[in-house]
Amino acid sequence: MDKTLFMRACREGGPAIEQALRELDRSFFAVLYRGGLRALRDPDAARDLVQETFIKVWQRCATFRGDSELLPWIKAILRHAAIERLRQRTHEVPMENHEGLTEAAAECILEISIGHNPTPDQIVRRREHAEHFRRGWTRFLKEDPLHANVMAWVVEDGLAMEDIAQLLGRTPGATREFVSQCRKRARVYLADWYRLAFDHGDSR
Amino acid sequence: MNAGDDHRWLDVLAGRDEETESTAAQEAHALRELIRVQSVEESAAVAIVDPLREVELIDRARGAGLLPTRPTPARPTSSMAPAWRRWLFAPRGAFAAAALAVVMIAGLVRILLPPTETLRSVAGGTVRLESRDPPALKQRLIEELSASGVRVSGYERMGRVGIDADLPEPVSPQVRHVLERHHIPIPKDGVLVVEIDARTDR
Repeated sequence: MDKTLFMRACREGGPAIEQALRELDRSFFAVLYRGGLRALRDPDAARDLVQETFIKVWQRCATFRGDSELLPWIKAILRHAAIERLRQRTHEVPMENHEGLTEAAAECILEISIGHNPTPDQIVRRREHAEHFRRGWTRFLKEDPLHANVMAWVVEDGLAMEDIAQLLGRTPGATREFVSQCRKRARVYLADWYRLAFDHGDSR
Repeated sequence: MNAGDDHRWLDVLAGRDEETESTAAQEAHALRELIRVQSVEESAAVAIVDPLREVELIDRARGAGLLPTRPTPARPTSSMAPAWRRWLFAPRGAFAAAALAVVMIAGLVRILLPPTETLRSVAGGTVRLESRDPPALKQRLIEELSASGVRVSGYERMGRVGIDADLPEPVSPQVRHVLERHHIPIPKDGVLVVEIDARTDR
């Protein structure tokens, strides 16, 4: 959906909103649903989250100034709503004692980046690493969805520290701590992947 | 791990930094690559156009007051006295009863239900709402915003009803809640001007 059409419908209101809601659904439901499903891990809850987001989008349509594209703005609304739901479900568990990475493992990760032509053995190992990562990542998303999803959003949309602070409604200091926790928790949930990388020296 | 290290890790994870020397950067590069693969693998098949989903969304928008609600047809009840029933089933009686029921229900709905409003538009910093009872909505907004600590003044001039308010900076959760409940977007400059038009139910 084009942002100028969206803004016009917002100004006109009334019947224009109904048509615009349909357009929004057709344009963005699929992409938002995937994000919602990853965050909530429940198809019905994800569908409900996206529809709730579309309603909020219209309730706040006048605040959209057209400076950015429509989708990032809508995604931010969806993520706020997802965070609210995740906060209702989960408890913050500090994991200060879970330092997952040893010096040797750190060296190993350094090796990972060295580009080279993979041998068949390396290809098999990469698949193995990917499988370990997938399992750990799935568990991370399930058991600590807030931290895992913020990491996924960082990868998807390049969120900076300030974006995360805004999304979480936290101070800069608390956000830095949150990011640090993301890193620590990733090491815990993806420990097998880290260990494998250490043992074999290749995780790509 | 220190704060600078985490910052570097975040920048590489976000794809903003191409650095490959530090441990944090190497770790973030590897994570970024694998998370991106996971995102593609997780993609669920979803219909682009789904009429049922659209109907559900439109109904939800009506429920939220974004769109006018559809009138529901009135049904006669079965627990009436025999004399009434005889009268009711006579052709003229049935017609009169149905008309009376519609008038009574419409009147009751008007009296008992809280005024529901629809956001019509926002132009030049003025939020325009539609309501069945503009003065009642104005009063409600004044009371709810005042209770949330906002300075509000209401007006009725030139046939228009509305309110002006200066919102606190930042907007408190209570005020935000009041505004969201009435579908009023939060103004960026903190100056809220709302005009309420009378809605004629179709």
